[in-house]
Amino acid sequence: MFARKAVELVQEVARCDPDQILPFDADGVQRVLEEAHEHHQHMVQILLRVQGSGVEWRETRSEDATAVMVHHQALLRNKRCLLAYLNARMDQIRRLRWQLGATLPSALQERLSPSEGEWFVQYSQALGDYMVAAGLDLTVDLSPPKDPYIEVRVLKDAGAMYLDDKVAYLEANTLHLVRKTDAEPLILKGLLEHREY
Amino acid sequence: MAFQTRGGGEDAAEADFPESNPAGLGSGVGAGRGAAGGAGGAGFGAGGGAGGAEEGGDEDFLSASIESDSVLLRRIWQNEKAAPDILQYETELVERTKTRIEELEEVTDVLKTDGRKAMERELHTMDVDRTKYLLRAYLRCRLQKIDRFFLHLASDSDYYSRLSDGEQRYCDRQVDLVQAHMEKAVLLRLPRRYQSMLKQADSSEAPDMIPTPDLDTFVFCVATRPLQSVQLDPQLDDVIGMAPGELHILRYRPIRSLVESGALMLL
Repeated sequence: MFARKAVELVQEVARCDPDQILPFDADGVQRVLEEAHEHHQHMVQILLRVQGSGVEWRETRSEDATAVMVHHQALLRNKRCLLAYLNARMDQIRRLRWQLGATLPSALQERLSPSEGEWFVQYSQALGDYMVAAGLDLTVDLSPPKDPYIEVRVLKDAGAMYLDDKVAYLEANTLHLVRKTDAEPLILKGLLEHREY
Repeated sequence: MAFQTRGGGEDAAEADFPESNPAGLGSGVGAGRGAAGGAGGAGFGAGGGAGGAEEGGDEDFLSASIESDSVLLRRIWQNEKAAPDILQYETELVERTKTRIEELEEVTDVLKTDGRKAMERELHTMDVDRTKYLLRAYLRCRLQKIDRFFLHLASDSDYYSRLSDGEQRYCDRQVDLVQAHMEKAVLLRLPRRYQSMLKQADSSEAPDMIPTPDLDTFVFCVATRPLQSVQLDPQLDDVIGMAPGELHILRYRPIRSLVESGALMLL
């Protein structure tokens, strides 16, 4: 009660590693919502009792007025914590979209709640639409270019892929000289490794 | 205002820059007042010179308006990175930059077929890459601010008008999508009268749950032209003068309009 569970939810998301995301705590959210309703019930009961006894609100006993206030504030705190929880997760999911692209690996995808999954698809769409309209992919080219081409080593077999208008056969442990902007998304996905001397 | 198109200027000082226009392309890139003499071969400078047009005010015509687009883009990006709120979208600069990138890419394509021109092609590719990086970084920075503050931007018409059309659409969609998600996951499951996304409770007088950028953070800034009296704090009557090139650390809120007008540059 009094937002203790809600605060735990917020702590859970605050402690999470920024590149990871924890599974959605549907039970936690459910409990906080139930507590919010409990507080609301208490408030309603006190208000009904006061109204029923015909006393003017201004003249209620201070215990009643304070109790209503406390329940109201606890309810608000529960609400704020829940929304903060959702917001923090949305921030994490946005970061994943920027790092990993529009399809998330299934291990991460199953940690999203159904509602988050839907939101993610549409967020991804909105981002994609913006980038198409602007004419540039904004998720690549994250560091200032020193060389237009970089040398990469292939970590996992990836078959044939179009790189710089030529077909390249990406077999494990081969070296390729690739344009930086082509290589970046593949490096982020773990397919290639930048060979720095 | 004398608009000078590329290649036909009235000003004799506007020299041709053959090394940055190998195929004779680039006509009409960035007409503006002032000669294009500024930045030499750095980036794609030849067409720019419209820095003064953006800043307004005739007194900086002589001092700071002779600036290439690449220098301007870098400065605009730096300002955007350092400012806590979102600044005015530079429509013309972005359009000019995109045109320039297309032209340079055309040139590199043409050069691909000529084996002897590998060096030239390398240089052009580097130019394209750097320009693209700056443009992407600028748009990315703005988009990430929209990701954080879409509710605030959507509810304040001043800020909303600073966004480009694409950004406005993106912002509106963010509002809708986040509202739908929050309602489904939490808000509609709360007691009635506590279900608003913008207000904590229906009894709140005004929306009190909209995150806004902190305008009271401190920023590093440099004046681009002499400033006589900069009002730092209206209550304390704290006024300073700034000379160009001096580095100051100031609270962002009182100097916002100077950043917007281009009189101050953020670092």
